[in-house]
Amino acid sequence: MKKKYIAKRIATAVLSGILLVSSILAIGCGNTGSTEKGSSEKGKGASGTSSNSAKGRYVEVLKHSFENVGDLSQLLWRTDGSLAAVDKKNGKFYLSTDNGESFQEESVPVLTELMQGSGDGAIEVHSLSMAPDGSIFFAYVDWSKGGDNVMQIAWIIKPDGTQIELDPIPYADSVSESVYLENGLIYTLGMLGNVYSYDTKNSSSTLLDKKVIEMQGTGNYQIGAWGEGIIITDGEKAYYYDSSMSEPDNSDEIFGEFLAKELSKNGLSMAFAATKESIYTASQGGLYSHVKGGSMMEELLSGTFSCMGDPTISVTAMTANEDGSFFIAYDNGEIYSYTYDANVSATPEEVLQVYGLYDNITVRQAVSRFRKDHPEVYVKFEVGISGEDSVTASDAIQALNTRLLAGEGPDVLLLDGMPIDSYIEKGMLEDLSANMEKIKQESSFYDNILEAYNTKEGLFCVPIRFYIPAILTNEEYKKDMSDLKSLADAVVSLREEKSEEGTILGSYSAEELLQILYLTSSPAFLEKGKLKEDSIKEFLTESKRIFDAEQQNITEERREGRKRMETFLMESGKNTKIEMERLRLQTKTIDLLPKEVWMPAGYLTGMDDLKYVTSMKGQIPTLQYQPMPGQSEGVFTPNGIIGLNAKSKEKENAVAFLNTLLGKDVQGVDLGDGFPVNADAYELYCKKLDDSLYSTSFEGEDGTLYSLDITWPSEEEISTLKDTMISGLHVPTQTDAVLKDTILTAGQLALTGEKTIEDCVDEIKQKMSLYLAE
Amino acid sequence: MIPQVTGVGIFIVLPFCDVVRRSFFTAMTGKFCGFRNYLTIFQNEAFLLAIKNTIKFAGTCLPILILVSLGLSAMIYFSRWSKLMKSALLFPMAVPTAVVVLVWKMLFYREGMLNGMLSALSLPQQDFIGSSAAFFVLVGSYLWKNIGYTVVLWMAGMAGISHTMLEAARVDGASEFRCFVSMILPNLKPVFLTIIILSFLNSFKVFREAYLVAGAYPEDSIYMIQHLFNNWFLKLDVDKMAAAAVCIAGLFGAVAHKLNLVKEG
Repeated sequence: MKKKYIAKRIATAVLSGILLVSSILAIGCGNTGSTEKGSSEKGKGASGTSSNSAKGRYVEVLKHSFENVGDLSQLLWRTDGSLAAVDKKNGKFYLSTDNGESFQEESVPVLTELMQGSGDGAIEVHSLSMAPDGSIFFAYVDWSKGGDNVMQIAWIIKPDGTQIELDPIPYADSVSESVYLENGLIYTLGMLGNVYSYDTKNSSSTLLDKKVIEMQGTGNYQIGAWGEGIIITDGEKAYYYDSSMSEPDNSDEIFGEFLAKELSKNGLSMAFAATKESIYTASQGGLYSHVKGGSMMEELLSGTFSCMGDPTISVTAMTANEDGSFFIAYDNGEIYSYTYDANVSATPEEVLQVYGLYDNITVRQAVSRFRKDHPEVYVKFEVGISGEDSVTASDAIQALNTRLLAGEGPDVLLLDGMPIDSYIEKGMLEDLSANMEKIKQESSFYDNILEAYNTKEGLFCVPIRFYIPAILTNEEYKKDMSDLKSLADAVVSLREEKSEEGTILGSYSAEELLQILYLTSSPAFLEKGKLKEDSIKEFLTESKRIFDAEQQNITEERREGRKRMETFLMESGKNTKIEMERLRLQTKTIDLLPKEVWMPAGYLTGMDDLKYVTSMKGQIPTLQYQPMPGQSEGVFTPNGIIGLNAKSKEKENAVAFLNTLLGKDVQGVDLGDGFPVNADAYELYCKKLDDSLYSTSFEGEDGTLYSLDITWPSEEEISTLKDTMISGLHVPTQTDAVLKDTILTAGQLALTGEKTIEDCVDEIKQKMSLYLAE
Repeated sequence: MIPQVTGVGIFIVLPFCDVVRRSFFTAMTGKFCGFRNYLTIFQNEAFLLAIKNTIKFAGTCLPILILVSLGLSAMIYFSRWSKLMKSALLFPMAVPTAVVVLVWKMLFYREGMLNGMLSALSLPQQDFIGSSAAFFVLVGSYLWKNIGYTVVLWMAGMAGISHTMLEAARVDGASEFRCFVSMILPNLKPVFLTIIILSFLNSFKVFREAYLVAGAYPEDSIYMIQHLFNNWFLKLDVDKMAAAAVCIAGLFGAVAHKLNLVKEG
């Protein structure tokens, strides 16, 4: 009995010891960030992510960069051992006999003659594909032979010089993509989603000989070679087909699901390559492989480790090489090789963590740019609210704060939607003053915007892009608008003058109007951490006047149309874009034509918006634009506010990343997410992208057809925007999510008359008092 | 005892010691700041309001819950349908929070059923969630969810009372009421203390419903200590949280000690 008792006590003590030791170990594991010092910290980031000891990764090397290339639509190994790069747009191809190091330009004689013989740009090549034996298929449209019945012409050129012109194809079913296989079969994908096969060995002159499939899907149709057959995608499913099959096989659900997800997430740019064993895809998400009918997609290389992840360029073609490497072509004319190196780390040794609640395309571009300049650093951009799950801003911030408190937070923070003031107050953010001085030596910036968050304690965050709140008015209205009250006066008086249907500012609901007016009035709502009750009352009072005038003549059809558009955006998972779509001046400007709006108000997000505004000035010469009046002057709306973690262990890399983010290369690209804060990059940013003019047209509610010729803003317009608008901006729109949500939620009730303005002000005061008191 | 002490020590005592330590330091920079965090929270209007509301809520709910559930348990105890009724009473505990929130919204929102009924009766509509009425909605929700469970606890206590003793009293001529007051109630004293502690702890769980219906900044009357802690964490005010947690732990400790004295005395 006693023995049993002693054994039980020993077992108890041992178990307790195990519990104690394992707990201590668990605590110890979570605290590596603060205990390890020196070189061993390299590669851990602020998060303390341990350096990856796994070896082996595909390494990206630039093989060749083409000058003046049009569209590298195909890469293939020819039977003679040369590598061919097909430039569809220019009707040329390039051959390399040294494994892609250098290329010789070759032409397609018939096509060259045709292009030279026609007017400038009259020949538009829709499809150009090459077979491994050098045979070429191309289809083009000659716009100089216009008219209502434009036909597509297709040719086949054999290596022995045989030229076959096929029957003309009706434009409606014209070929947009093609694959020319070694066995002499040509598969074509038409604009309507029809895939045809054509056997060059027969003597038929009808290209659209045999219909393989008529696709439904989302319209993201693509076609690629697969051994002796093809892979077809309709954006939702993948189809395999070869001539031995009676109909395409779409049973590979894993590949289909991957395609649907990847195409909807990262856009249409995707390339395929296939060997006997596997199919490979390259897209913004990365390089993947899949065995037909297999149960998984294997990620060979993440987009974040390569040019594939760069949002400014797109994958256009790829080839899988016999040695297991890949060549991938991009739309900027560059060809990279991807070769597996078993001796390099699976991820780069150093890790820099960038975190934002929301995705940001400029940050993505900077990540890609930074990776090129610092290949030894892996930049991990983490998005808190991806939209793929039900994570709320509050959930994401809580998870982030837990990491920050544990000393494992990200090195760079994209602060949009985060409690910036609290982070500054807690000493969470690094003072950027000294670093910014160094960065400013390399470029000049709009200091009025860059230093808008400067306080006497320091500069803890900087905006990377900004929108310009503006209003389009007309000389004829002769309205003096300098603040919210005068704006309300102008709207009310214009409503009396314009009794026609349509809105004044272009809003269709109380929420939408408040979102517009909030842009330039919100900075007046808080002063030294206290809520300015008078400002809120004035805001709601004037907003109510505007709302009453605004809503007076909106037709039910128009309101329903707007609802449908927003419902569509919500259902397609783009609900975060609704506010941006509501506020962008581009669409509101077009509404001037059918007089559905008289003084569009919102913000300019970039050249895309500006060109619509200046183009409309061409149509309505008396049109003017000016900063949007509100309760504050000189207001801009930041998009992307960056701060550095004061406890980051990768400060040097974090500062270098900030430098890249604010550098001319990144800032000079217009990604539609705001104007650059780098003044030197402004010229590059405003550079004309496309020589061609185009016209946008739409049908009004009464059936009238309206059209607007879109032209690039003139040098004068670009300078005027810089000198008269941007230089005067110095106050950021309030980005505090609680303040905005409180005012918009309560304010709607005041505007619609469900509550009195006084009651709404009390409600806002009550909620904000709690918030500010905390 | 060793495993229990080790477990409690590692998972409760040590983390609490860290909380006490943090309450004397700044949140992120880790600088010693003495009692500044304590001074800050007692000057903080939001903290004082949250404490006041939490005490008011517990002070309103606990007596109602204990008395109503005791009455119900007595009725059930003497009823023939006690088994069936016990199962029915536990039903609210099985309802997921998401469903409770949905019901709240359907009933109490501006466009909800209650306002619909008021409109039908030509009475003015009420803002049940955005006015002081929200407090009573919260009290009602707490009682609805917890009464069944508390009744079961009371009945478990009653089941432990000797039937022989009750039969003897009845033979001696004691009425059922006399039996209940003089024999059942005194024997329920240990259960009573358990019920108070459990009910008090359960009163904190009502935060989920309040948060999901009215958000992080609800009407003043239902702004509880958990709202404040949640919001402080979002703002990284961990130093204030630590000081407030120490104060609340002290308060709970004092109450628990007092209850123990009552139990022993």
